Amino acid sequence: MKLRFILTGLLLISSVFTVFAEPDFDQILIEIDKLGSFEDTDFSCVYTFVSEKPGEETEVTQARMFRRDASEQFVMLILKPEYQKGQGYLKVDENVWFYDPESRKFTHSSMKENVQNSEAKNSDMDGLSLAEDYEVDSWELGKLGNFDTYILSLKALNDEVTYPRLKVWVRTDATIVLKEEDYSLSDRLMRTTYFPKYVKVGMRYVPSQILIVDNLQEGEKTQMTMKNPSTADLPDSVFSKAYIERVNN
Amino acid sequence: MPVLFRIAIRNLRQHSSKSLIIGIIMIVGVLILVVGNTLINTIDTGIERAFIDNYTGNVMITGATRADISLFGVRSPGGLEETPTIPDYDLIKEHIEQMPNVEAMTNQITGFGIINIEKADEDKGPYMGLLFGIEPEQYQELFRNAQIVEGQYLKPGDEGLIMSQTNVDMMNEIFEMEPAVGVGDKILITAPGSAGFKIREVEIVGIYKLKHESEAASYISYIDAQTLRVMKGMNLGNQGEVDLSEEETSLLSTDSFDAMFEVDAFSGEAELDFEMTEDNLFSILDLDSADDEEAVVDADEIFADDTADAEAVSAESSTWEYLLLKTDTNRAAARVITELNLWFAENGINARAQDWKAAAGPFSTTADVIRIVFNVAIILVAIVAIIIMTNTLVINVVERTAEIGTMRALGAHKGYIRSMVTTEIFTISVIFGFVGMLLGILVLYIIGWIGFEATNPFLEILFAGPVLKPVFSLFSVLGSWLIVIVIGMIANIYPLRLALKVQPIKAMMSE
Repeated sequence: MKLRFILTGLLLISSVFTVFAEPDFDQILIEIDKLGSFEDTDFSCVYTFVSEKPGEETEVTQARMFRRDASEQFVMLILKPEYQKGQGYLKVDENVWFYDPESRKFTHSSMKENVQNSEAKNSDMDGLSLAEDYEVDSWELGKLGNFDTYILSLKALNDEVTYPRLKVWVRTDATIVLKEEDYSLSDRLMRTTYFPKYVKVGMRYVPSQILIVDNLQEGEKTQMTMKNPSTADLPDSVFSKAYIERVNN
Repeated sequence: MPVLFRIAIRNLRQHSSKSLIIGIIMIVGVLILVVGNTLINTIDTGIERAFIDNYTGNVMITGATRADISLFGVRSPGGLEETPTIPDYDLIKEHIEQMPNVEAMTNQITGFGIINIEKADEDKGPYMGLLFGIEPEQYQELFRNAQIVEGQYLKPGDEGLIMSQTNVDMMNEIFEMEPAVGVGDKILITAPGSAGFKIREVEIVGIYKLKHESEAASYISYIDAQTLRVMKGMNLGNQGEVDLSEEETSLLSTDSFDAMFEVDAFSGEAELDFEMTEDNLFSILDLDSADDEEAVVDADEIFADDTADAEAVSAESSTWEYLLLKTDTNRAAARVITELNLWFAENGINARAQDWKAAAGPFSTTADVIRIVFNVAIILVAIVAIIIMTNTLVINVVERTAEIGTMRALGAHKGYIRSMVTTEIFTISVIFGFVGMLLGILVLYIIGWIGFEATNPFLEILFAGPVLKPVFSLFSVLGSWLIVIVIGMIANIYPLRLALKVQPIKAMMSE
């Protein structure tokens, strides 16, 4: 009788610990990165950015993007509008260059820069490295629409990231991010990004529709839509200045 | 009244030590006010002259904006907003040409650019530069402070850049180029604008120095307006239609963000339909239609669009963000601004005229800060003076209790006593205030005679030139005298009340 009582007590305690045990968030960040990064294949796609700003005409930018996440290489070429066609960004390791076909010149740039006049940053199209760049500062459980989520507050581990603080809503049943809030060092909310739709590309899930809302300029928002994804191999020469120049010839 | 005045003079002589104390306080007060006000006038004139003559002019005309606009852009809580172009530019220009008080006018576009040097080491630079796009002839006619020390001024129709000596020195310090960058060298400018980023290689055609420095002026680089227009993406004309699917815009019309998460995020497996081959490796910009015969047609359409854009650019080369005016006198500026704003309202033109302070934006605050600090100091001095004078006058009244009581006993009314005491302090204020005023003028002449030299650009702005020459203002000198008389009257309120309370019987008993 005593033994049964002790066993029941132990079971109860263990179940309580199971319920309140903190998930391994470091592992969750690693899983999110894995799911959004193409370490074993190349990745390319076309992004369409549709930006709305109060009192201004809707702006549309289309860009073709090539990624080789294993070596942190990245090329983006502007397809539309016509007057920007051929402008490109090249990232090799930590160096980012911007190319203007009108002057045929490259200049240093940054992944923190906005894609043309949209709310999207160049870094939004690069592979994820949350586990490397951030640590979980605090967490809570929450609901977003119909989904249970972990709401993770992340703090940057280096100053190379675009935003020093993030808050991400991660589904509890699958390690995908549904929403992200980006904060400044002074904890001011700068922008909010929603990832309502994912598409399976090879073995990974990539957001196919993204909505970015500027929290500083009311009414300014950008929808990013991904099309023509591919994991086919890309020639090494694509990730070079010479390639961007040749494409514009 | 003459009787009162004689009694006042006699009383002041009888209590000469106390009268002298109050008088000295008044002399010092007027001296401080005259010298201080004149110096602040000098600083005001210096700052005004430096800004108006360097880059703001007397009047700035811009398109109307909700947030504050200066020659450095539109300031809003989220950062810099796009600067509007001037609407109905030709109409406004025509109207201004008929305004009698306007001496000269010029146009401007402002931009910021990342300045880089192609051959510089990758770890050096870049830095952010301030660019004023100008029409050289007109601009030089209005702003004559920039003196070319090397190379030449921009010529109409030529592309190029002129930089200040300070700016060139700073650039050479940042990039550590050997040999140093100078006239004839080319720099890369990457500028953000409505067309995204644009890079331009621009030649430095001249280096200038300013006759009179002012904040920010040394960091301005002057560039031909057309180059800056292209970099800022002005005059783009028709941007071309892009066919968008429902999928590409559906989220923008979402009212509730949470509603986006009511259905499962996974939309199935993507069709991996793109493969880069030797054929499409370099035609990637037209990939969507690379295998399509219509691609040729598209190319023709693109060419046609380019022609349209080129026409739009040449047709709208009169697109400007700022119109700057020089009035015949600085005082006329306020009248011109009022007239222009009324005319804009009457004609439904969405533009605004403002003064040089608005044009200088954050950099004009120096004058205001100095004025506020000086005014606070004057208020503190006035309070101290009032307290000391009140104390001295109170002692004076207490010592004269018997005298005042006797006068009351002999039939002097309260009104008579009030007039007598007030006349005394008024006489002191007028006589010693005048002495203080003369001493103040003498001190200012001595300062002007010594000729203190400005040892740095900031002091040069404050001194209104390389040497401090006080700028007299009769209004401010006489005003200082008046202020001291008023201070004397205020200090007299409490002692006067004491004097009026003196009871004749008690006063005579105390004696």
